[in-house]
Amino acid sequence: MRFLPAGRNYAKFLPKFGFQSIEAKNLRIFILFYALFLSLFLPTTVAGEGFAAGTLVRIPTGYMCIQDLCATDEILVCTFDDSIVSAEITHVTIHEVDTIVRLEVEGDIVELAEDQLLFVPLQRTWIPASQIHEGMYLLGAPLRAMQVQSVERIDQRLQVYALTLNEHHNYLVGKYGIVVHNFGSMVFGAVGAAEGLTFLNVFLAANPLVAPMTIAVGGAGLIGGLIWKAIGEIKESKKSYKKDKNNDKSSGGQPEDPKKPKNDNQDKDFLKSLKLRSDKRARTNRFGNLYRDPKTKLWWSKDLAGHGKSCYKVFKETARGLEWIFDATAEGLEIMGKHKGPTGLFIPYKEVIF
Amino acid sequence: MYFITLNTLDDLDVIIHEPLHFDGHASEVEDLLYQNMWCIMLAESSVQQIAEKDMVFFLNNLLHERSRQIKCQYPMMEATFYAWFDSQALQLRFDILPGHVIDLPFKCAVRIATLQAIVHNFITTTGNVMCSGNTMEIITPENDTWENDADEKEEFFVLDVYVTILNKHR
Repeated sequence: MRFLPAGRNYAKFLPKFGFQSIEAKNLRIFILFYALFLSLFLPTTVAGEGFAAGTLVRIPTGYMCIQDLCATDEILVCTFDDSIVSAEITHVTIHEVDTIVRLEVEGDIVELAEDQLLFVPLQRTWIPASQIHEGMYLLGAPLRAMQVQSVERIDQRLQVYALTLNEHHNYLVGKYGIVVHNFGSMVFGAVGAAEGLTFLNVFLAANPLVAPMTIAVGGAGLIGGLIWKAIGEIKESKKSYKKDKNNDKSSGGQPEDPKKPKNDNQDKDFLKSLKLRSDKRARTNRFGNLYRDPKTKLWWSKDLAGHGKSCYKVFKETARGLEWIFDATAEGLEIMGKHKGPTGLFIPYKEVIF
Repeated sequence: MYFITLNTLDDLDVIIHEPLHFDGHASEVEDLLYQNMWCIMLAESSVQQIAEKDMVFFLNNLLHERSRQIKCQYPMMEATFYAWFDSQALQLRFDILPGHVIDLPFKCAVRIATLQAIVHNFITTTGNVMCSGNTMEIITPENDTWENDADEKEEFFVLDVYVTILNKHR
């Protein structure tokens, strides 16, 4: 039995590549290179999921930019039974893609990789962003359909961020919480398997004599790819841990999470330094201790409520009492605001004990 | 974040007419917390003049207006309005965040309260402090107790907060 007899056109076996004609010899070479290509680059080319920096992700306290999230952070997920719960990020994957899909949903723009899966409620399935078109409905949280107003494909090499969760395997992005699939080996495996089967079909039909060798090369490449991916994930987890540990806020856009010990440490460091350099202290019945900075003559006290990133209340001395002037962050920086009327409110010195 | 010191009730009009800002994108997420936040202080002259019921009336009007603004600007979006009395700054504060916020952004424990209770606390505490001052004990390095600056006891602080969802779909 002879496979791939000469003189026939094999282009029909590879419709997606758009060849007009392929001879048997060329097809063998093509298959071999395609196998090598798949086995070497499958882990990086298939894993085209994720979102551009700046994409909002729903968290229990509101939103955070995807690039500011790291392992162990809690984000909101959809349970598909009309409720939203929180789940923990196990790791963040960062990689580059060549094409970005820009979706406009109810006025909100979301930029994502074309393999990123989104839930389409009418079809009750996950569909990659590349197959989303104008007028389609996506699932928003809590369980409502949101129409896609426009879709734009942009050929641009861009870094994207994808999150993997410990449970529920989805998360909510954009202002309106579009339900998207988390990044995981399941997706990678499924897409990889589909690609592999397509290839195998064509390949075995073409020439079984070369199959064992190519399968061996492909298998080795796939295992190598998986190891590569695993190493990448470990590196990313370490990076996330380090980021978490160092409280790296340089990328900005993140409300303070009181549950994180890093802020407590910063808070304590600043307070400790303030206590050491203070030239006066005060005790109040209403809100504990105040410390005066000898340089600025401003009085600092802990912010009891701690709204957002506020850790301290800062007062200035006036002839009539202490006047609140601003809230400050854990690092002692003023949280800027805008005065819409006359400023200042003093706390009179009446009954002050000196 | 906006601050306003009230001399008369008319000063509150500026709050009503301020547009909503839900423009948080890219690096502005942190600012979402402060984009629609207001801090209201009472001027010394207005403490005796502004009544609780006037403030509650204003806040109810504000909720109505903000709901209308959200419906117009973001018809499909819910928003969380929350108000509290900042006893340290003697300010009535409120904020609006997009979405149904489950976990309010406070570092302390939160207890849900009525709008009337929050306003009552604001008016009466501010009035008391204005009239009676704030009792403080000042300690200087010359004082014998200066070295005994034991860390403050980490007292369990509970904040009363009023919360409501605007443009609620269900």
